[in-house]
Parts: sequence; structure tokens; C-alpha cells
Amino acid sequence: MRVLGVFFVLLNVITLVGPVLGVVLAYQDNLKGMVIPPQVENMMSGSLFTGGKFKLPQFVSAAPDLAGRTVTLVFEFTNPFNYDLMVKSISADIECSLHGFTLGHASLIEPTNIPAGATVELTIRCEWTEEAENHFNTEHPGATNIDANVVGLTINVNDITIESDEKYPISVPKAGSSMLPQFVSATPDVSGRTVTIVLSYTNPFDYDLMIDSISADIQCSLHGFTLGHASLVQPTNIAAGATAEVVIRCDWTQAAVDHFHAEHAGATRLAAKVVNVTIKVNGITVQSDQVYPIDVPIS
Amino acid sequence: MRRDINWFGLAGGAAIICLIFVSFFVPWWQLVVGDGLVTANVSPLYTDFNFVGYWFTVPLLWALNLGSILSMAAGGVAMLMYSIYPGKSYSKNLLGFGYKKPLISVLIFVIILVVLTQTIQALFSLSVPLVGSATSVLPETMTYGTIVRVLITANFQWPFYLATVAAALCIAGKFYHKKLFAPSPPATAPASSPATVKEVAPPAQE
Repeated sequence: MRVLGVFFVLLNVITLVGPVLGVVLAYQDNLKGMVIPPQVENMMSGSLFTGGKFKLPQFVSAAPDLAGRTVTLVFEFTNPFNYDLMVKSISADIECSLHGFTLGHASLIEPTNIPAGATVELTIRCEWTEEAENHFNTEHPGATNIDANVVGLTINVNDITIESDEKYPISVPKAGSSMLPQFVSATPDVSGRTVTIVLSYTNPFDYDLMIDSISADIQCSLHGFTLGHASLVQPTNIAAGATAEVVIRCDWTQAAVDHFHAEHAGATRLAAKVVNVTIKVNGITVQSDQVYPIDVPIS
Repeated sequence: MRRDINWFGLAGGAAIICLIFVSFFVPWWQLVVGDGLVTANVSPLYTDFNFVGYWFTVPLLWALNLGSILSMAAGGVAMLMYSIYPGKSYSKNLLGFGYKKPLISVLIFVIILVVLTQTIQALFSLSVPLVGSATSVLPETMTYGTIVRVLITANFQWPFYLATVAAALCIAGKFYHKKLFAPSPPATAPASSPATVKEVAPPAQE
């Protein structure tokens, strides 16, 4: 029985020491390889990557939506690994670069798979807060674009969350600004009771827009007196990216005619302003507090 | 003539053999970083790693695993042989050699895991759970100022519990052996018929 006991002790020693000794002998020229195998070294030296290094998403563009209430940001992200990555979420804040005011929170529209070595565009969307719209109007009146920074970018890739303290400068269209037409001309009719106002409207989108209606009030710039109400003559289609003229017509009220005679007797032109502009485009109604100064001929 | 079989030992030996086979396919403990970006399949019998799609094993760990496989296989066979012939003269040696194998494997495995996770925590301030999920922040020295949070999930897999059952069965087999071959209490001879007293057989070797 003693022999059997010794045999088992030897068996224990051989089973544990034997394989380790074998590996040590096999790797005697490269002992580090016992712990860091050649595959790992190859991986770290390049085969892990398809080229380049891991970089955070790079900003590409910012585009407003139809109503100018949201902005869609496009980032480019390259997967440097020989392994598909799944971008599960991206979130960031957008703040005014001048005032540091937080304009809204952006997030990834949908999880995106990025094949090994591929570069894809990631789309994140930001909805302006009410405070942001107030900020646009009070701090950036008249501006059509605002310089902003994407901050606090947090990206979840395969449940690994990367938080960057980098700031991405972007230029974002002011809420509603892309929807607003520019004044071109105002022409009275022969009776002097109606004025036709021509506005220039640029479609910033890559799809056609149908302007269903425009309504506005026209006020005397000097007295703030409402002279009449203007409305779109006929619905107008504007092709993607095109600029077209849109005609609105205003009938002077009797009170307006009286105002001309009483307050602007002898004048041939009147400094007026178009206010309370409401535009319905593709079924979406945009109200603007922008004021358009116009020069109206009166007779 | 009835032959004694140590059923606990038999089940323990079979469980050890079964454990060796399943451990090639299912790890005892699995650590997943992210949703599979990095995976460590760990067991005393087979260990491999997946790093961003690349599977590899560490030669030194492979050697230790091979040693464990041989040792466990020898222990399993010893337990099976002992259990079928528990009364043989060599059975005590077989039992002594075999019953400890799964227990030692489980204990050393758990100790190594605890020490390893605590060491990683101490060295890198990286919280690696033994069981469950934790979100850890990688040291900024590794991430160049960027904050990188990783979801780390770790769990014992069913072969670990099979190993625990195997260890328990082998220990039960050890105790059952004592019961199986416990010395019988000396029979008290009836006072009226001393001639019927038989000599009590010596107990089988424990």
C-alpha cells in the first residue's frame, strides 16, 4: 500500500509539474511568450486595428428640421478594429459658445452598427428648449446662425461609455430662421388700396417645400398703427435648394387710409413693417417674431 | 453475495469525469467587458480570452490547465475504481487520492479569483465583480484624459456548481466509506447459550 501511496504522490507531482515544465522548455527562447502569447503581441502591434487609431466621432454638419425647432447633427465615426462595433447611444449638450448657455440636449436617433474598419455617419438630434428659443431672441436677435459648442459628448460603444471633455464647435441655424423669407419689394395697385409685397424664399432642404399660406400684419413704423392684413396670393411650391419669390397681398383698411391722410399727408412713401408673420409650410406652421422693415408707396 | 458499492463516491467520480468534458465548452467563471468586447472564460481546466474578436490562450495557463485536467482525470478514475471496490486493500489509497481533487480545485479556484479581483482593484482601481455587474472607470493614465466607463459582468457558470456538487459527493463518499466499514458492535451472547456466540469478523479496512 505504501508503494501505491508513493505512486499517487508522484502522479500528483508529475501532473502538475510536467505540463508547466513542457511549456517552459517550449518557450525557453522566449519566456515572455509563456504569459504574453505571440497572438497578443501581433494584435497590439497592428492586426487588431484595420488602420489608424481609435478616435472620437468627428463633427460633419448640422441641419435644422423643417420647423427649425430641432437640429440634426451628423458625426463621422471610424471603427479602427477588426471587429464590428455597436454604437448604442450618444448624448451631448449644445451650448451657445458666446454665453455658455445650454440650448438643448442631443441624443443618437438609433443604435448604429459599424462594421470592422468602416466609417459611418452617426446622426444625433437636438431639440431646442424653450429657454433656448428665448435666448436666441434676446441675445441673438436678427442672427440666422449661432455659433455653438457640442459639449459633454458621451458615447456608448458596446456598453463601454466614453465621456469626452472635448468641445466641438458647430454653427447652428437659429430656430425658425431657415423658414423666414426675405423682403424684396412692395408695389401698390392703381387704386392705392392694395399693396403687393414680394418676398424671397430659399428652401434650405433637400426636398420640395409647399408654402400653403402666409399671413402677416403691416404696421406703420412711426406710429405702430396697423395698416392692414396681408396673406399669400396662392400656394407656392419651392424645389429643394431653390429660391423663389412669394407674393403676399395686403388691402389697406379704411382706418389705414385715414391714417395716411392724417399722419402722413403729402408723403408718397411710408416706412412700414411686416409683423406677426405666420407661415404654413408642408403643413407645419411657423410663427416668427421677426420684423421686416418695408418701404410702401402710398397714393 | 452482496457487494458493497460506495454510491456517493461513484456519483462523485462520474461527476468529475463529466466535469472535465463540460469544462472544455463552458467555463466555470466568465467575465465580460462591455457587451462582449472582451471576454475571459476561466476554469481550472480550460481558460481562454477574447479581445475584440481575437481568441487566445496564455501558454502558462494552458499548462496549468493541462495539469489540472490530468490530476482531475486521475482523481475521477480513482474515485470510480474505489467506489466499485471499496473493500479492497488498495481502496483507501484510491479514495484518499481521489476525493480531494474537486474540493481542492474549487477552493483554489475561488481563492485565485478573489485574490485576482482584489489585486486588480488595488493596482488599477478597477472594480471587477466576482458575481454580478459593475461599471468601472478606467484609470485616466490609460485613457489620456478621456473618461471611459466599462460595464463589467462576471458570473459563475453551471460547471462551477457541478464542481461543487462533485466535491460534495466525494466528501460524502469519504464519510460513507467510514459508515460502510465501521466496526460492528460486538454481539452480546445470550447468557443461556454461550455455545452460539460467533466470532465477530474484523472490520474492513477503512
